[in-house]
Amino acid sequence: MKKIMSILVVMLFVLTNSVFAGAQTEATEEKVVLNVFNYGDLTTPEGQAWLTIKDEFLKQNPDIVIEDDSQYDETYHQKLQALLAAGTVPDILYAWQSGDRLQPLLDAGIAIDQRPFINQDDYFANSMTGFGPNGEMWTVPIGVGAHHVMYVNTEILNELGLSIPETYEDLKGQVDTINNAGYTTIAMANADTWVMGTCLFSTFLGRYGGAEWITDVYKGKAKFTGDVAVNALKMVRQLYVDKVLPEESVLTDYGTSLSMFINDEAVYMIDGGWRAGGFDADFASKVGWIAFPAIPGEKYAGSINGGVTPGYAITKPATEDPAKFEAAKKLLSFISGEYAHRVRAETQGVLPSYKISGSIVYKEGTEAQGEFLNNAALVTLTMDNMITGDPVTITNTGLQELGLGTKTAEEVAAEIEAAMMR
Amino acid sequence: MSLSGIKKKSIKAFVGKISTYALFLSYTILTIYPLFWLAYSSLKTNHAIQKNAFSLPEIPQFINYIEAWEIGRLGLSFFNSMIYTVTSVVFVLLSAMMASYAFAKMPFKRVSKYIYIFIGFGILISTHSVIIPLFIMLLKMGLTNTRLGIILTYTAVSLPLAIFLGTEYIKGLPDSLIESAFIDGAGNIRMFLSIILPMTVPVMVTIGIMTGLASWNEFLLGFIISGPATRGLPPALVAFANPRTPNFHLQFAGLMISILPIVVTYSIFNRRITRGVVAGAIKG
Amino acid sequence: MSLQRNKNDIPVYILMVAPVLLFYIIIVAGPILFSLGLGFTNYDFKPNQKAEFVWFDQYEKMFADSKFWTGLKNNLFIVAVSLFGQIPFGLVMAYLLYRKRVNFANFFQAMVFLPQVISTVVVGILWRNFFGIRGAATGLMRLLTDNPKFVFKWFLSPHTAMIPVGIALLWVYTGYFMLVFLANLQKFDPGIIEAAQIDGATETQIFRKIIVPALAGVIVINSILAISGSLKGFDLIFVLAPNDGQGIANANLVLPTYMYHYAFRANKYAFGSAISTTIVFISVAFIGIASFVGKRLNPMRED
Repeated sequence: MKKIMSILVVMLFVLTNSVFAGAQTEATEEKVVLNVFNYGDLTTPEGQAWLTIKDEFLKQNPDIVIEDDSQYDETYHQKLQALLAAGTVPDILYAWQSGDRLQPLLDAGIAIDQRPFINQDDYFANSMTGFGPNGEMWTVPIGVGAHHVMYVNTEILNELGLSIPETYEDLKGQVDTINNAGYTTIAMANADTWVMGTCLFSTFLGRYGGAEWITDVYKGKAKFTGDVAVNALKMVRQLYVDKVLPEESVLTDYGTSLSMFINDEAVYMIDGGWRAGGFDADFASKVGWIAFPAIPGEKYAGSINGGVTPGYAITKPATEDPAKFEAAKKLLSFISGEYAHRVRAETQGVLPSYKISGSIVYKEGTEAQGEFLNNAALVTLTMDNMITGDPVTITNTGLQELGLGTKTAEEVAAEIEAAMMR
Repeated sequence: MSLSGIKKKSIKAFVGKISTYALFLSYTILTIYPLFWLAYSSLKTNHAIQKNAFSLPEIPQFINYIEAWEIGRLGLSFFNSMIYTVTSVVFVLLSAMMASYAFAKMPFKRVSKYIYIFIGFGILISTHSVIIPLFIMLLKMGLTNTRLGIILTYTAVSLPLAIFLGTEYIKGLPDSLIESAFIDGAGNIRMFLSIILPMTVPVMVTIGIMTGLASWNEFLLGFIISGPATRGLPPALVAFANPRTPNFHLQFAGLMISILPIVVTYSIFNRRITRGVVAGAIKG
Repeated sequence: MSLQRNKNDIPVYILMVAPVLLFYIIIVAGPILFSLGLGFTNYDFKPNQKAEFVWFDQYEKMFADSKFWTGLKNNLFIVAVSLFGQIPFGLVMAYLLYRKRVNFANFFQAMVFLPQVISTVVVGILWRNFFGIRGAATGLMRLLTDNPKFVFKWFLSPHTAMIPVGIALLWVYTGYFMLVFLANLQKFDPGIIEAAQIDGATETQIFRKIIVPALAGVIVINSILAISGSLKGFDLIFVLAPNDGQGIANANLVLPTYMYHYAFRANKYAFGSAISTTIVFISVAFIGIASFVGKRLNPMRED
């Protein structure tokens, strides 16, 4: 019996030690320690890019030590909550420039204007929009992108003897040919509620309302019950009625839509510019990038919605210690600078917001997105970049209900507006 | 009974037997087929999976498993799940058996009864009733993303049932045994360790199995409280095999990796496990 | 039964009971009470937020939310599936196994119980794929209906959205109930059945008039277990239904996922606590009703 007990005790000891596992880096004297909270999965190109950039910075700045943590998706947001609630705010963190994802930082009072820390001329003008009430830029974005792209499988299109549709009527006319040949018209992941709102609905809003409309709504100068939004909602419904979007689109989840498209089962796919990362080189060569055809009654032809990607920001607490502040500024410039952008463009396929000098070999798909974005007649905002909380959830659910036909455009508009008012 | 009556009866019995066999056979097929399909599909290339749902793999792609293991960091999660399962089982057994002995055989029956009922309510509760305050509590204590928080919680939620089973079992042990040991001069602790505990091995096995299964398969708590380095297999699997990726081959391989250990353990300890679980249910 | 008292009874008793009591109070009882209290406030743990008591405001908001009622309705559906699906089915199969002495009974038992040991998360992902666009079920339907683009559409309509969930639940739990009933049947005295057969009773009659009443106690207890489980189920639905368990336009919401999405996605902890407390109350109520009904049906049972 005693023997068993002692074995148990030893086991417990070993177990509890592994329980309290957790490495911690020690800050040595003379070196400044920067605490960075990063977003990303280290096993993906995104995560690898971060490591490359960080290592180069450390080489160039031997007197700075970086303690970094990378989290992804859900855990990122939960960990951030934890950090904020516990009061241990990182010095630099990855953040969104507006919307729901930024809100916790604003609430905690740690978000500060990043404009004094960078030279804005180094960046493309359209990436330097400030979303704060006085034009503050809460983060320095590391990229730009189109949030709406209508991908075309040109091989199937040619096989069916069709050409790129220029108006909605054109597209509608193609539906029967496509279906009779056994293909799906548009692969779109409308089971995931955000997709319609981010990748198509916002474009419709832009077509009817122009670049200022969403900002106007945010400021209370326009309403969702007005013509712009109601017509955009009606247009969404119309897509289902005309079978341009198949009924099962509302069932298609995010992995399935890509799967359908790259397996030559659908002629078109509507998604964001980032999705092109899922095409291999062979497939990418037969994909065309277009904006959604002209819709009836549109005022701003050819507009798409897009915006900047998230980026990095120095937090308020980091500004309090002079040595730390200096180090933080250096790090921010570096991870938002030429080298970093180059790395990301080459390995990740992120379209840089920085004006990179010299030539780069972009990762496949990046150039196409760059061209697409540059050729766009107008780039408007994406709805959930400006509007946060309940209205977004209700919009997204409402868009699904439009797909199912369980609510009318006016009803959905009224619900969204009611949520905005609260 | 007349001759035709007997004949009718045996035809009826025959038909009955056939239809019963048919019923069970179809039930078995329905149960097994999805798993069988998963197994061979996990050895196809992603392309092959998407082309034809039924086809058998041309060349078994064992590399799927390696990729899933690495990309999903399933090795780490496996290890974490093992830690959680083993430690929670150990803690549950230790503490529940002590309390069971106290409730079943020691004096202070009235106090015991109240505490027993108090803890009994816990059987009705599952993790998600406590998850919000628990999360906040662990948040404030800085214990999220650590293993300790999870171990403590897994232990606590398995305690009520363990105590219920343990107490009922020990109640069934003969008092005479205990009386004679006391007469021989044994103290309470000695009594518990040398006499009672060895006799409770059957119920400890049951409790161990139930707690072990529950901890190994637990999802919600692990998902909310842990991070990539501390999460167990179920949350890791969900993070990895989610509907947002078109990598079916990796998803399937990941699922198989989760299922295989359990299926293997189950085939070896089949009788023990089913008997253990059922024994618990019969008592109730 | 009064046992000889030792002089160190009290400290030993405390030593034995303290650990579980501590565990339980800190991790189960305390949080539940805290949850109860939190549901009466509007405190979402935002930095710089002051907690205020708003009493029943959160509950008003919850009862006014159509999503709550959808969740409740779906939970009731699951309760129905277990009470009228898993249990009867399990009972019948157990009886058949018991009476017919089918060969390979042990193998069969093992197979039927297998789904129980697999994590519900794994089960959910498996079924999601099985009925998904690349799954065998879809493939089969495409062959049968000669429609190469067939997809299962049950998630589309609130009327059918819970069916795949029901199927998966049947798959997982029927085996468990079958096993429990079988074990109880095997303790049954076969002499009674033989006597009934000699009297000319049919199998159905034997089943209805003898077996069911004899097992009434077990049936009731397992019904209670089933109900309790139906109200707790989170994992399976979370991975099976689209949108992390919510379904299309919230058609698959059940109360636990409803709570999860408000508390952990929208960070509305106070509101989530109100939902969580409500779930506990509903569970207790259901179990109370089931116990009461059970006692009525089986007055001989000792509690």
